[in-house]
Amino acid sequence: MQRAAHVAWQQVGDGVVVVDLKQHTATAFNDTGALVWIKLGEQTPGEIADHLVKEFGVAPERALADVESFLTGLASLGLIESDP
Amino acid sequence: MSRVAALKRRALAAAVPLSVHFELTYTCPWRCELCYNPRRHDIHPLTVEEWKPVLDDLRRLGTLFVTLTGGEPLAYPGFLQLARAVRQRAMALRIFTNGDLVDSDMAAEIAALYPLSVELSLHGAGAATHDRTTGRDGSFERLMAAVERLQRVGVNLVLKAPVTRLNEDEVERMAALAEGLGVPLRFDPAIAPRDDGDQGPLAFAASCGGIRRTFQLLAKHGGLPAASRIEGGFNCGLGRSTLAIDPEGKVFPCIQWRSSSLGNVRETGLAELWRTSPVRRRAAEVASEANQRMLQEGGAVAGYPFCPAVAELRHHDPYAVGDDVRRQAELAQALQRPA
Repeated sequence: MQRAAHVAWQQVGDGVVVVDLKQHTATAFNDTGALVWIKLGEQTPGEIADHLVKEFGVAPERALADVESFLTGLASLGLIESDP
Repeated sequence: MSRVAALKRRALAAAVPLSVHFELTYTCPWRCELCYNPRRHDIHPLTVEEWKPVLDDLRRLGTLFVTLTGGEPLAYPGFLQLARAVRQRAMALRIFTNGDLVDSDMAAEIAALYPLSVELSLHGAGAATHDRTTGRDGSFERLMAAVERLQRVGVNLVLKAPVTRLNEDEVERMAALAEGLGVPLRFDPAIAPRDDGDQGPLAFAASCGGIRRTFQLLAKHGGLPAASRIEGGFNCGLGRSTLAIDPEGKVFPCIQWRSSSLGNVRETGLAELWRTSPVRRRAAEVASEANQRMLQEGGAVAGYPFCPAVAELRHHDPYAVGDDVRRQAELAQALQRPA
């Protein structure tokens, strides 16, 4: 998965704000969401989950489920799309 | 977009240049006598390769919105290349244009960039007034064609109309035109001096009757100019959340503030200028002090937009409230009151 072409985003403190340039909506993510967003397109969900385990002390099995759930949410918002 | 409003408040408090204007060129096919741009041509405009490290610095500083303006930004030879560079850095793009150079291919290229908005200047309800203002026959027709082309490819448009002595008798027809096109229209009652201090454009400022007529129209739609101020707040983003860079790399704390520059990106990196410039710090103080002064003024002025940069250009005092601004504020307040 990768960030959609129609988004703009910026880090704000520990979080991230994502602007959907088609819908003209903005979404804010906290520090864990920001970590997933920033790693998108560079790392697999499993690798991102490893970061959550290391940086936030999340249990490994829960981390991967959280990442996949988060990505499903992003996809439903149209903020990410499948790799070409 | 309340999250963006929260982001703006945070940028103001933390001094993050959230929104930045790039003046790519002063070249423009129009000859508007009321334009605030200086009447000179850029001699050595920044190249796209010179703009790119500026974009990299802005990305790191926290910028989210980049506006490409001019002159006419589409007259800049590297316009599309630079616009793509903005989007490649995940920043949102706004384009201020007169539409003159928007053919079908350009409209498609712009649409592919997903600009937050393309904002076009409208100076009259028809060709007679519009072309008279722009000094270019056929400019109204080309503007309408640009609107149609950009709408066809789904670009979000805004029409912007400075209210002038030339168009004040047709503001209702301008609003009807915009409504018919399905494009939001923003009237601006403020005509500013040129950036070099030339007061010539002020001769085109609307009459009191013209402002009243415009405000009565805006009041019907709840769109009167208004400012929300709090103790300890900021009048605007001057020196705190905005920046403007002219075609030759001079950096200013906002698009209107020209009395002093932070420096030039050809000599010093933008990040260093932002962090260390005493001019920026001074501008940020003006943004705070202007807010306090307007609150102390009280009454209608306290709830009306105020531009310290225009006050500086007009009165050589960033806190001077001109008679015209005071009258506009009082009129807006009177029209806001329920009958």
